[in-house]
Amino acid sequence: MTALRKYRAIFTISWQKELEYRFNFFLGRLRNITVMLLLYFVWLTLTARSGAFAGYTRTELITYVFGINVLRAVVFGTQSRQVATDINDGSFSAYLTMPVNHFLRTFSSELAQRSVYLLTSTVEVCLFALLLNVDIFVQSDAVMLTLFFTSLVLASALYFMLSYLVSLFAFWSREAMGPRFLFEWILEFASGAYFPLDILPAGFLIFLKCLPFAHIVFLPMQIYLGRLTIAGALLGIVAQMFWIGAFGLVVMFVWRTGLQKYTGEGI
Amino acid sequence: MRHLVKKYFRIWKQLSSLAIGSYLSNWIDSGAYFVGKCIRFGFFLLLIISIFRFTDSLAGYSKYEVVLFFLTFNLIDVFAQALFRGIYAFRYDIQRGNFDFVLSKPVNPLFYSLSRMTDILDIAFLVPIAALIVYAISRLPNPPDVSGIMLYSAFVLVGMVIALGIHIISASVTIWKIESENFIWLYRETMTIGRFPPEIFSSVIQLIFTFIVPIITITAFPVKAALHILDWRWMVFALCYGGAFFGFSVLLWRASLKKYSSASS
Amino acid sequence: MFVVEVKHLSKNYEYYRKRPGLWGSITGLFNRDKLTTEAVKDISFSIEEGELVGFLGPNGAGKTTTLKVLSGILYPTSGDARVLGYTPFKRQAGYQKSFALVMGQKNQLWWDLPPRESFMLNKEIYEVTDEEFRQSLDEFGELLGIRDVLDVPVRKLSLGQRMKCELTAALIHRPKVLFLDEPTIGLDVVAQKNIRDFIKKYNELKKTTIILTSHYMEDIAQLCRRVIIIDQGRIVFDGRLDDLIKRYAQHKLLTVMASDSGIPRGEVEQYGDIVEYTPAKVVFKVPRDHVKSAASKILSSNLPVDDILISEMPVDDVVRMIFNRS
Repeated sequence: MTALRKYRAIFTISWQKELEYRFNFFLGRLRNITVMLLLYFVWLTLTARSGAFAGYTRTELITYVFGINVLRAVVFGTQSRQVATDINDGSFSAYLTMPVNHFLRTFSSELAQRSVYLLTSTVEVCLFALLLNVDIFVQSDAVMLTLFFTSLVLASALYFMLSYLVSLFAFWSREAMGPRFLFEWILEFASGAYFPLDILPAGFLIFLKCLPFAHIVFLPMQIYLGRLTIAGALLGIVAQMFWIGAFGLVVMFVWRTGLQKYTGEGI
Repeated sequence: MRHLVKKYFRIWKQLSSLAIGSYLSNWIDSGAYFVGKCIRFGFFLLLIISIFRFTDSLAGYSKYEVVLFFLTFNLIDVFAQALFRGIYAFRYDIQRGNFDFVLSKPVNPLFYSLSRMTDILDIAFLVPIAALIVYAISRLPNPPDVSGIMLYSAFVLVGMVIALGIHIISASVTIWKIESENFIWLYRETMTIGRFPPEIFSSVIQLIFTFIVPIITITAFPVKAALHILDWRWMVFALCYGGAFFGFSVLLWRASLKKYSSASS
Repeated sequence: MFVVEVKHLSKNYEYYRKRPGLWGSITGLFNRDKLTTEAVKDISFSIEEGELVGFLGPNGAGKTTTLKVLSGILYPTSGDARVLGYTPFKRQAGYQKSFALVMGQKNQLWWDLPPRESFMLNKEIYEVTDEEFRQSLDEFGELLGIRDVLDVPVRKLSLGQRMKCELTAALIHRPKVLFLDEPTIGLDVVAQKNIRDFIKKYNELKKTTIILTSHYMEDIAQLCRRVIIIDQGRIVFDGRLDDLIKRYAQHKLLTVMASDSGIPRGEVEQYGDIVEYTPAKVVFKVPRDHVKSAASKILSSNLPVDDILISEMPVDDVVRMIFNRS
């Protein structure tokens, strides 16, 4: 119980930090809106003639675009990025002396950030849906919704696992931001956060489905849109669990070996 | 005047050589950034090509025309990124107070701050982009004539001047609000609009991104000029706008320098 | 003709206060409390060519702010500052080429690269000729003993070596005026002394006018004959170091050395406040006008006195006293 309070305190203080940098906060949101609008108009233009494109109806494609805006907020975070910076500049040493679990600590502040973004992204989506007068597909099937939320929670955990792992690279090199940049862009595309992956040629699609990324955005969206059978959705969820387990082990191993490498440079 | 140009060229050369040294000593970082950019570029190209698996026109443009819009966006974007890279370190320099040193030296602080990290890898990235542009142009249904190509080059230049203006404004904002690192990132993200032909957007959005945030003017005008579908009135507009925008940014910068007060004593 | 002239200079900073708690963060999105601090309040002083003046004061006293105004980095809120006849905040190239600023807590050297590269950049910025550049590098390389580190990346250098390189970078263009802000901060005793010796030598050699800020008393005491003490944005003292002591120290120190048998504490307490006591050596704090009589009393007593010494209070103590008082 007291342990929980510790992480709750971290959660609250991270909330405040988000709001403190108000300029960045507003602009950060504006940035997501731009991506959303660009993709909205691309699909709108492409479905103008027949009302459908590449096997998706207009409503489905637009729901995909608006859905990713919320999904990004829930799944992607930036706190694990901070881990790399902390290790590189030595401020990480402070955590080592504190009685907290670093993984959980980072996850708490990540949750805080995500909850702020979830709130704002939901407002954005509703606002633009009204403003642009678009139809959004609402999933009403209880089973599908349950499967969707399950896959969402797992996706969020999987993202954090991967992102944290990439940041731990900082134990071995001062240059961890470049690899993070690379990771983030692979993630953006390979996860389906820009466009539904199944518009790609079959070869690319199969390749991407074999990577963990596709289970972070593309899978939950497919479940939400009802484009998967229950069996298909369950299979996806099992795959998510597999990846979480696998990367959980890798994170543990890398954390242990990395700590021995840690030099505390910069303190 | 000639003396000044020569001096600044020498400083620029030295800054670039410092930057190269710096990038080489951080080769993992620089390499990963480079690969990351290639991946971003490749994926967008893949998206465009995938789209044309299902249709033969996007907003009235054929495949290679859409590709040309995308490549032109990259040309200007990468060029600006390479030459004005210093803007990304500017906030750090302000926070740390290192900008104080710049101010105490006989060098234009704006010039120094923007060109402080000239990115040679990005300039290398321009080579494949340029090659692809030539290829895309050759594959157009009606390849442009000499005048089209000249207009294209001229409006790429206009686009660069406006982009420079945006960087200057961003640096100014950083001085006003130290925590505003996202301002230049906002530009980077809104720039995304320029990856596709402007006709996909509603007219209101087109107007906003032509007049208020001139992304369309920067990235789409060169292509349209090359295709001879840009009205002469728009050409005149772009020239005047570019000049005025740049002038405004410089005035804003001067005001910001006045306002500058150091991090802490 | 003064090199530096400052008249009624004031500088204010504005900043914001964050209200506490989560609710404070939210309301802070819409409005914040604006506050103003007066970093420097109506100060005036002038400095002659070739002088080496020390600025002394606690953190936040306004030392750095004053240097920044003199460097043209900050506009004064009111008042006037002139250096070499120039108005600093106009930032004319002519002025910028004739002074240099070194800040112990900040660096102008490129982190990932050898210092030589940064020197080259300054060479271009200050338009130093190849010949002058080579000479300067030779001279400072010798004086500061940094020949070996010129081609080592800055991040691999020790703090002391880095500071020497920072100094070199600032001196490449042979400035007439030099502002040194905490040049010895964070350095160990040996490195501090090296830097100090260099500054002294450089001042004597080149007749460069130097303003030095520091909160290490040792720096000031070793280098500067004149000291300006700033506290809470005001000048509380401006003059020769020895005058400072005479004016503010109402006590002197009286040291009594005993021969082998030693002095029992009880027998000497009457002569003054004991600052330090061992049977072989006793140090008293005695009011200025009583020093002579106290000394003669001790000598004429039958205590086993071997030697007696009258000295001024250490500058440290005097300055601390001044700050505590204000």
